[in-house]
Amino acid sequence: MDIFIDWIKTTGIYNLSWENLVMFALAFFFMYLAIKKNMEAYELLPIGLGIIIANLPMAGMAVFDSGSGIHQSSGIFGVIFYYTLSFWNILPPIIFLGLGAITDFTPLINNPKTLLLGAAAQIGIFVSFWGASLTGYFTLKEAASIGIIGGADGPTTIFLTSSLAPDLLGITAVIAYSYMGAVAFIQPPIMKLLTTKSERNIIMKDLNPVNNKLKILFPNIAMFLIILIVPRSAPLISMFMIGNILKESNVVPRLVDAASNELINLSTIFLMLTIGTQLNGPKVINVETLLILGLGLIAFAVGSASGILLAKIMNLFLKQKINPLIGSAGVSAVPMAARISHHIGQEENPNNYLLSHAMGPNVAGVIGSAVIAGLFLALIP
Amino acid sequence: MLNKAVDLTIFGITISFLLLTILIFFIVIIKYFDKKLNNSKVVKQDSNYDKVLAASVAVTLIESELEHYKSV
Repeated sequence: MDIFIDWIKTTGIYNLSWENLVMFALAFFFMYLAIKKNMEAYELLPIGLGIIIANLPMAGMAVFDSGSGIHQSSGIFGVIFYYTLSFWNILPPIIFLGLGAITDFTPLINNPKTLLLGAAAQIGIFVSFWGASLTGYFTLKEAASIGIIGGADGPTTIFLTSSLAPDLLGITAVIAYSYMGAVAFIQPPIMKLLTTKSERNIIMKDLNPVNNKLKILFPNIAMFLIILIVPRSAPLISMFMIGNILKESNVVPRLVDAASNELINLSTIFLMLTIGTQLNGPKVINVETLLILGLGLIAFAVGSASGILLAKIMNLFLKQKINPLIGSAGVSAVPMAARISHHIGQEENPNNYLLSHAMGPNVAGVIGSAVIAGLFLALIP
Repeated sequence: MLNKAVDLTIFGITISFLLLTILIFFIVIIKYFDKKLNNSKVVKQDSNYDKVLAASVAVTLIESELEHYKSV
C-alpha cells in the first residue's frame, strides 16, 4: 500500500495545480490561434506546445541543474535555455542572420527619411520602460526588458531579456509575439483615430529600382556606424547586416538559402519551444505578469501612434507627402505591420499601394529596436 | 532609479534619432555619388555618340562628293 501511495505522489495528476490548468488553457488558445487563424503560427504553435510540456508536473523537461553533480538531472529544454539563451545568448543573433538574408533595403534607400519613422516608433519602448519603473514592482533591468516589448521584435526582446532579466524571459517573449500576432486588432483603431480621410488617401510616388552597388554599400555602412556608436548592439546588428550582404552579393546563393531557411527554421524550433517551457503556471500567474501584459500593450500602442504622428509632422515640411499610415509600421513586427498599413490604405483608396513604402519604416524599426537593446545593455549595470 | 530611467529615456531617444539621421545622411551621399557616376557615364556615351555621328556625316559627305566627281 505504501508503494502505491508513494507512486501516486510521483504522478503528474497528484501534483497538478490550478495554475497548470490555466496554462493548459492558454496553450490550447495559442495553438488554436496558430492552427485555425494562422496567426504567428511559427511562433505561437511551438510556444503553445512548450507551455504544455512545462506544465506537466514532475516531467522536469525545463529543469537545468548544473550544481548537483547528479547525471541527467537536467531536462532538454533546461539545457537549451541555459546554453543558448541564459549563458551564451546565441539563438536570437542566429535568427537575425536569417532575417537579414530575407530583408530588402530598397524601400529604405529609395526613401531614407522613413528611417525617422522607425526611430519614432521606439518611443513606445521608453514609455513602457518608464511605466514599469514607476510601478515599483520591477528593477531597472526588468523595466528595460518589459519596455523592449514595444519594439515588437521577438528576437530582440528575447536577446535583451535573456541578458537583463532571464526570469521574465518566457512572459516577455510570449507577450511580444502575442501582440505581434494581434497587430491586426491593435493598430487599425489607432491608425484611424490619428489620421484624417484625406491623409489616408495620400498616394506615394512609386519606388525607383536601386542598383546593386547601393544595396551592398548600405548594410556595410550601417553595420560600421551602428556598431561603432552602440557596440553592445553588435550581436544583432552585425548578424542582420551580414545576412543581408550575403544576399545582395548574389555570389553565395547556398549560404543565403541556408541562413534564410534551415538555420532560421532550426533556431525557431528550439527557441520557441524553449520559450514556451519557461511559462510554468505557478511561476508566471501573478500580478507582475498582468502588469507586463498591460505595459506591453501600452508600449505597442504608443509606438504605433508615435510613428503616425511623426509622419504627420514631417508632412508639414515636405513637398512630397508621406502617407501617415506607414508610420505605424515603424514598430517592426515585420511584415505584418507593413501589411496593416497597406490594408488600411486600400480601404480608403483601392489604388493606393502602400506595402513597399511601409517596408521602409518596418525595417528601420528592426534596426532601431536592436540599437535600443544595445543601449540598455550598455547603460544598465 | 527614476533619475536613471529619465536619463536613459532622453539619451536613448536622442541616440536612436541621431544614429538614424546619420544613416539618412550616408544614404543621401551614396545616392548622390552613384547618380553622379551614372551621369558621367551617360555624358561619356553622348560624346562618343557625337563623334560617331560626326564621322558618319563626314563619310556621307565624302561619298556624295565622290558620286558627284564620278558623274562629272
